[in-house]
Amino acid sequence: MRLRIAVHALDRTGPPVLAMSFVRWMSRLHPEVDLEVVSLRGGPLIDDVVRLADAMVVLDPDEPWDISDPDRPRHDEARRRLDELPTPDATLLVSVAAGQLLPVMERTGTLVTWVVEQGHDLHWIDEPTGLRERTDTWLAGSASSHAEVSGRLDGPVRLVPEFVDDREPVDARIRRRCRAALDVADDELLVIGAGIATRRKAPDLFMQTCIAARRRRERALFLWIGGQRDELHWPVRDDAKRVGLSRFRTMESVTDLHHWLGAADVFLHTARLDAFPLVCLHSAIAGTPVVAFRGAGGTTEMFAESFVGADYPDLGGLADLVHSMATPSVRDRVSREQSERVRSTYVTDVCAPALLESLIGPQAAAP
Amino acid sequence: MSALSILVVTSTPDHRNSTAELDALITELRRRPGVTVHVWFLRPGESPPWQDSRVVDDLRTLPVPAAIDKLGLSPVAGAIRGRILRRWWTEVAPDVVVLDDALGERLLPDDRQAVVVVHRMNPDSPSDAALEARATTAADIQLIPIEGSPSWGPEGRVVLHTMSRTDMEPARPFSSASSRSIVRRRLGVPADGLLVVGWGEHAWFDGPDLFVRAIWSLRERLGVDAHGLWVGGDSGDEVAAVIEDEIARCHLTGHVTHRPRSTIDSRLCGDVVFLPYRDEGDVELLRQAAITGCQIVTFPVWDTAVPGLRPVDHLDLEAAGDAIVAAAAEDRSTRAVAAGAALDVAPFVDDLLDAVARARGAR
Repeated sequence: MRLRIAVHALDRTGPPVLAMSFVRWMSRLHPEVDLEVVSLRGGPLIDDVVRLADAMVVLDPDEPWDISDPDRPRHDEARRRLDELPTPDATLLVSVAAGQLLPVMERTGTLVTWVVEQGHDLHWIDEPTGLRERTDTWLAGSASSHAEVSGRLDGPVRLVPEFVDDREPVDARIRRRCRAALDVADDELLVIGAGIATRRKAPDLFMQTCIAARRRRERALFLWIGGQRDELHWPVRDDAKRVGLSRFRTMESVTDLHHWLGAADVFLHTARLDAFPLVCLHSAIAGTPVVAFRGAGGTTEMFAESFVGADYPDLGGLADLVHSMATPSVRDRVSREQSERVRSTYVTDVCAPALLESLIGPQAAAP
Repeated sequence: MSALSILVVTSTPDHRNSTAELDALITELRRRPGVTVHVWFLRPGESPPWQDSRVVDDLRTLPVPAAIDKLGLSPVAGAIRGRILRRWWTEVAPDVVVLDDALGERLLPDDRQAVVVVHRMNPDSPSDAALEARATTAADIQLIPIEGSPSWGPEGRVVLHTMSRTDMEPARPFSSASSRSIVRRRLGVPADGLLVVGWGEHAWFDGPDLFVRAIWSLRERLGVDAHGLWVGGDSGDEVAAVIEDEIARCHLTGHVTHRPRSTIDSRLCGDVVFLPYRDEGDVELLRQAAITGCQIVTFPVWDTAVPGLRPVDHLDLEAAGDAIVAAAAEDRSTRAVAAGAALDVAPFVDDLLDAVARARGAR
């Protein structure tokens, strides 16, 4: 049995991280399956991939690529390399953006596309990649993605939830070191947001919630992790500087977010739209309560009864909820409820079997 | 007021905004009892010289000195020109000389103690500024645009700030609620309730998303029946995309209207202006709003003193919402009168004549 996992990049964004969780689970529970990971672009996760599976990267991380008019020598070279690989029994495209690989990937076996996007990002379905025509099975990673993609496709779409790996709680010493590194006092809240710095992920709203918190005289450090090379990184930093926000900081994307999330008192997710933000699952696993906008993607579905948030665009409401987490009993209760919800519903051991079954059928997927 | 003779020396009769404003200033000065104003242009320009003005450069082509020049007797020709210039000066006998753009200092007599010298600085230099040396001696009074001071020229002993009047007159009709109501109906925005207007064409620096969220805050947080109108940004461009996206996310369809063309009537048909700018914009548009008595809630990015400007902390939409409500509650007609007085040229002329009187008294 040979499975191919295809992603659009090997950066630390949602789809590649999700793919890696599945690869790790397969390596652990199904070592008999030959796994290969094919990525359109490279990125820092390549190091994790090669420890667990065969790997092939088509383009360098920032190499220009026009799907409608690709660089012909690079296209032909990628096609030749993929043709030389054994034909897999099935190929899983993790995100519709991975469909960009299809023009150079002729043999896929059963092609399964797992839609983990929402909104504008779904445009890849209708780009000239062959994705719509060649996909045998459509999956959706969340109810919100499912609802949106079902309206755009003729055939059935099966809901297979996205997931993250369960982790041990963050060691208290490491937690202390993280907070000390950021100069966070014991009686100060550490509020973390993370993601690429685009309008959709909204680091601007994260920073403006910091303004609202300051207005409420909240003692808190707001830290945004990631997105240094994205369009809103410097504009948001400029805003913070102009406003005089001494307790707003940014940090480069880190190898392992787990202990930083564990060091935080609140994970504040201010995205305008996010289909099913894995970083919120990671945060719940790390024991840090998540506060987010209601109706801005999958967080309400993710946490169900344990969801804590405000209507978009109520930044004052978010700031009030952040403040509520300064009360240990409130923080502990929310953290416990959200962790329980995620551990019972969205961790790899719970969800990955359904994904494998979608790829190779129930008989073959049986343990 | 005792008789006061003012000589205005300016470069050319050109089409700069500042030249039109100089005309308005002179008109107001001439309205004052006892004040006479004479205008000398240094050179002919793109427009005919103003009525009763002189062109200093005409001395160069006067027939008699020009003929003497041809005989090779230039010093004699120069002496004749100097004598004519002194006659002109004596005819005017100025108490005050205004050097526009601080040009024309060479026309002042060696003994200038009896004359109050005013330098009027303008944002744009005249096209032939390179032909004339800037003044090197500090003026008694320096007039500087409100937007900021030019970096050149010696600083005057007294500094007054000038206001630009360009485009303010077309704004005056919108001081009337009935005029605004007509425009609102035409634009399809509610005639009743609080109408907040913003404008801009840059998706980040002009903050259209902040504008939409301020309307949300007014409606949902403060319970105000507010409608937003954003003008500027063609459909399909980034501003339009940001506004439409934010309206949808905030569930404000029907409560915020976007019109691509920013026109004076659309900008001034509201009750309060909210400009959530990250950087300074067009001051002239602020003045237009101010003269209608409209208050302008904005972030502290403006280096100007336009009446009605109501800055709140940068990016603080809660404070902006509070300021919009407070601004809407104030009496607009009173503000229009006050703004008109502040922006009109008459009070400025009062200040200028006071400064002249003090300078003459100090002689």
